[in-house]
Amino acid sequence: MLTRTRNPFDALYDLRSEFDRIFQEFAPEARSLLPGRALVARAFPLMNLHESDEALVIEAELPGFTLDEIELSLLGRELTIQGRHEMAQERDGDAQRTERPSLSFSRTITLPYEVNPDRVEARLTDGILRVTMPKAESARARRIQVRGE
Amino acid sequence: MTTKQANCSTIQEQSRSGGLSEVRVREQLPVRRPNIDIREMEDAFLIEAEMPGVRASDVELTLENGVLTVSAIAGDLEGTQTGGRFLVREFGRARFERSFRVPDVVDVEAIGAETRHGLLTVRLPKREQAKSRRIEVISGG
Repeated sequence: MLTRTRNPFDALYDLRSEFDRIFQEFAPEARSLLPGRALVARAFPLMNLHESDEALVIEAELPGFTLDEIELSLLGRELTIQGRHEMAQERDGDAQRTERPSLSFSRTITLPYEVNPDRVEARLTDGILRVTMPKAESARARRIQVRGE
Repeated sequence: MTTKQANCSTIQEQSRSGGLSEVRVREQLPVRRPNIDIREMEDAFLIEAEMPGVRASDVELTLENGVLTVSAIAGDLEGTQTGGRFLVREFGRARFERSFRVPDVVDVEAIGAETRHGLLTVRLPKREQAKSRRIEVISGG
């Protein structure tokens, strides 16, 4: 019998491919958070998608952006986050190094199921956007009573 | 305004001779190298570093042997809620860190920093004599 000791990271990678399946529009450059590894972040913005009993929560890293520069739209299961910097602020001086990504972006992700668009809430704190989407009734796990005789 | 002044301290660990000193072991967090922009103005250098989730109190600036290290661990992300699970996770708790060699023209005592919307701005003022001065040319009578 073949017994194989699995590297715990293999499980992570499996999970990762599962993510890829869920996230159809996926940025290949974004690497997962493995310990001791420096991150290369080219997908913009980097995102997390969290699911609890009540809601789906998207977190996106948007350093330097303000709420009025960000636009969210939900079409069916597709959530799009778009942004554009109002770059009117003075950029004086000589640029010696410019690494911060370009000033506009758009990223669309496919949610695993539909959410109620009227109850979507977005908050931006210290450059992290947090979109809370309560689950539609139908998507909620319900406890079903099992009756004995 | 969400501008806060970061505590910009020049930290130089010094062990007292013969004394017992604590060695602080850093948390084993993934290290992220934040994207930066550097600009040089007439009177200062400006570093802008992307550090989403970082507040002023999370930032540590260290100057040692002419090298400025900017380091910050984003406070607990709200997203790491109890219960539930991550379907996609592209970022999490990490330590942002980068180091810069500070040119001599910088007045290191006057280095200051602030955070705003997840963007850290470090200002490195130049010394008085380093600023370019307009020299008046006087025509002799």
